[in-house]
Amino acid sequence: MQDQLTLYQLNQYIRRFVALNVPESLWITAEISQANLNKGHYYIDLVEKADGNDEIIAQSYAVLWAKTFDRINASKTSDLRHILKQGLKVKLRVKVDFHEKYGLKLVIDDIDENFTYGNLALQRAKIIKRLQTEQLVEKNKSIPLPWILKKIAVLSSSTAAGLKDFMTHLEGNEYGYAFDIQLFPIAVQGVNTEKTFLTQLAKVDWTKFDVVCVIRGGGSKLDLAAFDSYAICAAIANCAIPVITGIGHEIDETIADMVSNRSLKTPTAVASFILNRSLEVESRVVQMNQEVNLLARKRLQNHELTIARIKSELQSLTKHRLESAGQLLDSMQERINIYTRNKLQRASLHLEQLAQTLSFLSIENTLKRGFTMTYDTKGKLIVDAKSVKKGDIVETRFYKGKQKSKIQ
Amino acid sequence: MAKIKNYTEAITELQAILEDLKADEVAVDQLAQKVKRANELMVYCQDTLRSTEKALEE
Repeated sequence: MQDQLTLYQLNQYIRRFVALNVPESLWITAEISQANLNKGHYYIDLVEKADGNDEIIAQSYAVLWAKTFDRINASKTSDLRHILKQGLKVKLRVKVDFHEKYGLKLVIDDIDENFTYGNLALQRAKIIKRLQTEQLVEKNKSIPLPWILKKIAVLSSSTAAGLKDFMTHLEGNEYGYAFDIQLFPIAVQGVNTEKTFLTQLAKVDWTKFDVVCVIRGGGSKLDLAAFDSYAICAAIANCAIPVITGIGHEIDETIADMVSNRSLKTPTAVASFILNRSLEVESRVVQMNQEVNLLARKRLQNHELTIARIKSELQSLTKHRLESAGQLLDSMQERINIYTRNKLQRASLHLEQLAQTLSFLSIENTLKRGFTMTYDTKGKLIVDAKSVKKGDIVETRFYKGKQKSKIQ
Repeated sequence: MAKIKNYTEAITELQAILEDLKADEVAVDQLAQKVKRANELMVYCQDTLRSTEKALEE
């Protein structure tokens, strides 16, 4: 080697060295710190961070040419575009390329999708386990959902399509229900999701809202991975009011969905849920009022019936009493009659006996004792001596027989 | 009539009236009053569902 080289000569030397010493292609694992897409080509910054902290211990520049991308993407079960995102861990087959002018570059010629998904699944499982251990999974679910969800705090990106669906669905509802909605803007994908989510959720004054809705439009499984963050999930679990998620997924649920009070598949579904709840509450209120009216009317009718019943009972009781009183009177009358009759009969019998006794005593006995009765010729009883004069013929009646005599 | 504080209380009160009626615990003298109150509560809830409060602060 010469004592002194030009830069070009040095780089030429490195290029040769790399070409001779580094295998043609090899698998590496790294984290994507940035990925830019330009005319179908991916320009990617790869990093490796130290275990336990975020300190970057290695960094390289990689490229995935559009042609290569199309070829390998066609052979994969998932769409590789979801894997080539900031913050995700990837396993790549690369060719180490050193160019005199452009320096070191890793040219990607294959991607192991399973590594990324497996890595996420592992991370996910760990977070779920931790949330379960800390009893956070059921915590937000245990808060009863208010009957009316009217004051709604929405955590979403102001540009998210899902938010628009949500707002349109709620604001243009056919029932005329009105909602007080306040948006707390967050990033719904990528590395800023966690930070913005935590900041915004902390801003929600839970005394002023009925519910928190976490809204984002559809996305790939890996886009949604941001909602598998432990910090986000713990914040949802610990929220003082119910959190409803509508994170826009069809098959898999995020951990945020698991810890929320309720999770629905799409933002529109969340809006429908809220509307239905309002509808349900209104019909329930109307029904309760109807029932109150019905019961009150029934009660009043019953009351009237009771009064009518008492009245008729009183009437029939009175009638009965009168009837029995009448019967009593009749029978008393009858008894009085019989009694009176008997009494009279007995009295008259007695009287007769008395009369007989008296007459017996008064006439016969008197005659028997020697008294006589004297009659004039006309048969009239003489009780006064002056009523007869000398020469009158009188007839004297004895106890036995009679004799005529002449007054002297 | 007591002022209605919020819809949660309105619904709770309406439910309570209904329960009392179901349990036959309302005196006949109070029936008209209860019916009137129930109607008020229902209207309050319906109004609440359809009206917005002043915009919340950002």
